[in-house]
Amino acid sequence: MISPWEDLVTDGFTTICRFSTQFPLVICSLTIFLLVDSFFSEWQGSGVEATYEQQMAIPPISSEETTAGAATGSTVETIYADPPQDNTRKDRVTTTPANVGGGNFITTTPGTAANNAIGSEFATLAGERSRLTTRLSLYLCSCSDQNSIPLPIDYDFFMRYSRASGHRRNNNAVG
Amino acid sequence: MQADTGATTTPSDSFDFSEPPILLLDEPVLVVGSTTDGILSGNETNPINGGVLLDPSASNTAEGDARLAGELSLTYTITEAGLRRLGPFNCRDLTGFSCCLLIKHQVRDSDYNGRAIQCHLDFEGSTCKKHYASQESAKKVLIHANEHEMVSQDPFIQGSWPSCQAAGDPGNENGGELLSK
Repeated sequence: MISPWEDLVTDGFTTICRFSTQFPLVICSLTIFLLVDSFFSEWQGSGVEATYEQQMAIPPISSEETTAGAATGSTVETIYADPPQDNTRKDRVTTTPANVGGGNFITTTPGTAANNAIGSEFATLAGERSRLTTRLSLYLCSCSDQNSIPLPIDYDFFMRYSRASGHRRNNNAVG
Repeated sequence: MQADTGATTTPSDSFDFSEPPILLLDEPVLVVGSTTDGILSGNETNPINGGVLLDPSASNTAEGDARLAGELSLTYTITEAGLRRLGPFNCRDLTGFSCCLLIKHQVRDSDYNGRAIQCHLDFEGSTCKKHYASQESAKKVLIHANEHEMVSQDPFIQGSWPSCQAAGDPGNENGGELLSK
């Protein structure tokens, strides 16, 4: 049984997702989140536009800024959140038997019938590895056949796993 | 405005609120707010947020105005029911009012409890205005009375007068760390 999380450290590449399946058409993907200064809130939406009455219900007012107060703050920035650059979904790769694509930092293994019929590393980091494997990164691997259980790992887990299980071989990574 | 005497404003200058920057209300008050469309159309002028009600003279920067106009020109959509993540919202260069308007424009649906999204504005803890508000609320005139409800000694003020060492850095108004003297 090949663990979906078995890590392979090869020359210049680090595989962080792996799956085992008997089916060649399984689609797997890796999603990388960089959780940096994120400002997310969860909202249980009703799917219905708020009525005017609902919109007009506002929290109580506790104080009023004066004109003098506004003057002291009128030339400064109001910063509630940084622009969403590195704090949203960073990249996503999907591998299928026909897909050998890859991005700048993430590559997939050649999608041959042979390596997909048994198992395959499908997401490999290369290049700016240190930037992508920051402490606040979140990796999510998933497969369409549900054989690989989606499991987020953080950097500490990633590093421990790398040291514990890393062995070297050519993983045919492209990119 | 400082006269041109050759002196310069140094970072250690005291930022004294001789004019109150904030008027604290005795009790939080509930008011009827404006609708998002009412604000956008200019037909309503009631507040859209709770907490601190900003002075109308507070304004966005030019960059903020441009970005806000772009965001508000986009047609909003009602997302299907269910849990979703909101944000992040980029409110850089915007006042709290404009930030609230931006969020309300983008989040049009009510939640499962039948509430529209709401905004509560407050000053960040390290800012001078927050410091002022804390001191102001702590300052009290104490009047001692005896068992006959008669004043028994001269009233006196408990708590210090509000002031703040803003270090000449306007960024402190929005959360920058106060510089030590």
